[in-house]
Amino acid sequence: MGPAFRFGSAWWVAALFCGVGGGQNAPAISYIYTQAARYEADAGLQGGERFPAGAAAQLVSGAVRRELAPGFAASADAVVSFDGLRALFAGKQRASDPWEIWEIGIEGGKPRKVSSDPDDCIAPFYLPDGIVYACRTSAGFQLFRVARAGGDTVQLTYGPGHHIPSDVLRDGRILFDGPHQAGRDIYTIYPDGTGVETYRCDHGRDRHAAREVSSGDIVFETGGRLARFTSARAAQMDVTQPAGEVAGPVAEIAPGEWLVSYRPSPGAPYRLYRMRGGQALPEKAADASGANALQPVLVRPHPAPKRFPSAIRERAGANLLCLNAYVSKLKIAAGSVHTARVWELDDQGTPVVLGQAPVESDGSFFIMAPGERAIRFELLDRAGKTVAAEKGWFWARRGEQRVCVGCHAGPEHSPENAQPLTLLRSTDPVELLKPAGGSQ
Amino acid sequence: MEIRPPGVDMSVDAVRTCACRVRTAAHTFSILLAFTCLSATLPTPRYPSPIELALSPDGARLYVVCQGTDELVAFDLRTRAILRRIPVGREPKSVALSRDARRIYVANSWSDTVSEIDAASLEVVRKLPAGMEPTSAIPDREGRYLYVANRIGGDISVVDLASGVETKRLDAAPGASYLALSPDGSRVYGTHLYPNPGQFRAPPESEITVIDAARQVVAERYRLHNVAGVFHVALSADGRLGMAAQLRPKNLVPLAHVEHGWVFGNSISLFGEDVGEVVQIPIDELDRYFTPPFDIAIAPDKSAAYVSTSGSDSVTVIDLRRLLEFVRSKSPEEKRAMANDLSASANYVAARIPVGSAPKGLALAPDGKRLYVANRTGDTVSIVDTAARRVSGTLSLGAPAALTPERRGERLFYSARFGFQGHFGCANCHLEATQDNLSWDLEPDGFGKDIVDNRLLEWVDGTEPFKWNGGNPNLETECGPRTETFFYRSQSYDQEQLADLVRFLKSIPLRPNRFRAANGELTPAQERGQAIFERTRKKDGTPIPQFNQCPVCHSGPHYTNKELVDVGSGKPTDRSPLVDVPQLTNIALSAPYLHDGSAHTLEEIWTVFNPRDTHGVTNDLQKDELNDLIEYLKTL
Repeated sequence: MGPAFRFGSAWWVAALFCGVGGGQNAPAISYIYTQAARYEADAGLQGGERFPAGAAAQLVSGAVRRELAPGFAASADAVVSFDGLRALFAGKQRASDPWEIWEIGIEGGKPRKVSSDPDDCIAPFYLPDGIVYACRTSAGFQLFRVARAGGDTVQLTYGPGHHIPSDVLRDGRILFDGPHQAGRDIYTIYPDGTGVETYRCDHGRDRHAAREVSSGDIVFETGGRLARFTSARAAQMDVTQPAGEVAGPVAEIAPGEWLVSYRPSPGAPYRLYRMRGGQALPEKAADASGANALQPVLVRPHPAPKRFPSAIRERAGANLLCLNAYVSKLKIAAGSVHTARVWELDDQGTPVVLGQAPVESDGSFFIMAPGERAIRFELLDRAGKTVAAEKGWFWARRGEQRVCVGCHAGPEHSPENAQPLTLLRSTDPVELLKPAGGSQ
Repeated sequence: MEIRPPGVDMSVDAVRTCACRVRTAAHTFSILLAFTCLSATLPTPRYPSPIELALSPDGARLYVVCQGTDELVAFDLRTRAILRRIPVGREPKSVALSRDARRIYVANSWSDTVSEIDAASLEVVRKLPAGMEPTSAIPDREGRYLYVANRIGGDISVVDLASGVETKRLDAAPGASYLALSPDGSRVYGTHLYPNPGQFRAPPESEITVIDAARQVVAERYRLHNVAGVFHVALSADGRLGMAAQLRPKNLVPLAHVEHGWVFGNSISLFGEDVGEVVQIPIDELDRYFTPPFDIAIAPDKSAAYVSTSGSDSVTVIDLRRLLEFVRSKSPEEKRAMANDLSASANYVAARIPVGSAPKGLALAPDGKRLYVANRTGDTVSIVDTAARRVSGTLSLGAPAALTPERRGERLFYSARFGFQGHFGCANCHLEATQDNLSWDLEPDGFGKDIVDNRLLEWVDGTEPFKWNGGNPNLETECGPRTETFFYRSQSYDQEQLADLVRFLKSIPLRPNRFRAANGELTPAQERGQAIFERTRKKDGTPIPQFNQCPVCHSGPHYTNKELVDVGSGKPTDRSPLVDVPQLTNIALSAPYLHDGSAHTLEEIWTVFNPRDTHGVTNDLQKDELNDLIEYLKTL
């Protein structure tokens, strides 16, 4: 396929206002989507192949459609630069190649390879001063960041399982899908890999493919349906939508109007629809002739997120301060906690004990843990019995300093203004940098 | 006597130059003389800076206090034309009408007076007395007495309106600032900007001071736990609900990040029969912040309350019926926890209305259909259609068309948009471009280390280096990378904006010194204090080493030699005992003292933290001599 037109910015901007294409009388939009004969919706859970029969990113402007990266054996996961002139995508030059990250002009031209990892790299996103994507490692897909011009990569995530970026928020944080119990949940991390946490702590059913829309809401897929987080609420909110199944993410056309990969009934291919409230109209130009049409993204300029100034400093590990372990969604009886035990996941994937730190009467404790390792906390009573324990794993960057309101407190809890007793005991953390010998 | 303070009409360089000359010519240097020698300098543009509003009872006339141009502007709302610009005193901060609307009262914060204006002629008819830095003045229901909140004095003056004489001064709280009269006239409610004195690194405590208007005594003090920075207070028309706008600073926890309301809780204290005990409610959300809450207007039918949030350029609309229902459904423990629950506001915040730049004072039409919003750095008044919840019109105050770098910098200073998720701006800690009287635990030094007191932000040009350890050589460093990385935690100013902000900071003048006579003469106690300050020998005749003589370190126009010294006030949690010598100008206003705020008073610097005479020689001084020294220091 080789369209004989210049796919320049002026061209698609003109098409945007000329009203060609689109469903019924809707104004035309330019967008990219992934066309795939087969789509394994749950592959992200296992780090498997989402497009086992191949995929091709398609660029649509008005009634015209062409491949984003002609000559590639496979392409997917396209996103558009802030100026609307370039796109990142995951591609395979040959079918036997791993997925790699590439950049190409919307007008076309020679693609530029961004990633340099020998294994699969997928789901790229532009940062204000770099690019983030996920690459397969022995511990699952992990997030990596690289400068726009290339160079060394920085690993941002260190937990077991698969971590796949889904958007970059306007406040600068990276939104990503990560493992949670048997499914996935939505996490955020700063572009330097610090501050990882779940976006909300109500933990619904297999949430993933989240995108921020212009209202600031986070719209995501959960079990084939769309749902949202709003800034005001700590729990997931419903989205008015027609019956059927959605394959996230959404692309916002205008406030309240989204381009969505959707099928009215199970078993049918996913197609692109313009969804507004409870209505969905098919997007004709993206007719994939029986294949699935997935991963829509609009081709237009959009604001760059805020740049994040990293505060990481040279330290042996990560300083982690808990203000009050009793502030928790778990029921932790007042005065019941005596110590905090810290576990690490070793290179073989076996949990090992790093050691224990005293928990003060106000619930505060302060430790230095190894950076860039999967760790978790367990709260113990005076007899050494478990009072509460984290189920999942988290991590911190080496040199990071981080404070938590409590243990599984939820992002809705802001800290009580009180000086933590643990800092009155000592401003130096209890160093738990190496395994103490125990294992689970 | 009208005190002419430095600044708004004068270039900062000129202030510094003149001040230096005065200092050189006579050791008893008086900033006042510097002001006099500056009178010939060219004026810089003055922006109206509307800060407070009042409506006539019929809703036909709007009075706008313009802090920047020292005037009260009267608008005819039927024609939206300015009726008159009425010159008042320096830095006016409030406006209130008598019940019969015949008299208007404007508190002139830098003149220490209240202008009484005839509403018919729009002429100033009297200048009434007040305490130090009157910030709010309201008449009682009968028009017999005027209550004036004095910010520097921390007290409330009671002025007999018949005689024009101040008859009482009631002890309120530090930074006493805003007043409201109960609808039945029986109570006057007062708030204050700075926390009450407390233990070092203890949660800040504030209060709502309740005055019995019949007896003119403080009847009650409603405790506001963990609150510092209380702005306006308002009462519902039935008198059953009181609301005070406030900040809940998180100065005791390490500022390792900003998300989750880590630095401030923007909130409202509710009080009165509707709620029983004081309940603090947040107005923030999980990912968006509305800061700092400044003024509150309650709808006549108590259906809604409007809160201006000056750093967020918006007005928050609270559904009062939903709010009261929500609060009443909570147990006492849940009510206490509510202040830190960022998801609570979803239960009562009905809308956020974008308005102009730095919205401050509010006035609600008698029928509740229109809300007027003073946009301080926008130099306009927004007219909000309260049913549609959007701005339906704008009143212009005739600001200069071009913005000076200082004015652009001032807008940046008051904006919270640079903080992560709009959480806070410069003005959250430097309240109204001053200080907050709090000490903070900043993250870069480690947790619990290098606790820092917030310094007074006036006439700082020439006091470099900055930060208590002198780590920042200039304001560009202080406000640029440092602020972005360790405060805002988000992309902040570009180079042009940073230059503007620094220009503004350097233009913040010193407030008039209330402890120094207008003619520069010292009282006998101040003279005795000066002699102690300048002494070279102990009382027993022993020479004091030069390095330990007060004027050696506290020298120059700002009373700092800008060096790092060890005066023995370092704490085990400080990384270094060396501290940058602080300026002493207007030192009386910036308690607590020392680099970490551990000294509650000037006296404690010597009686508690100077046991070995390492911070000047003071242990041979008696209490009355220390008092004299303090009296002198207050004049600097």
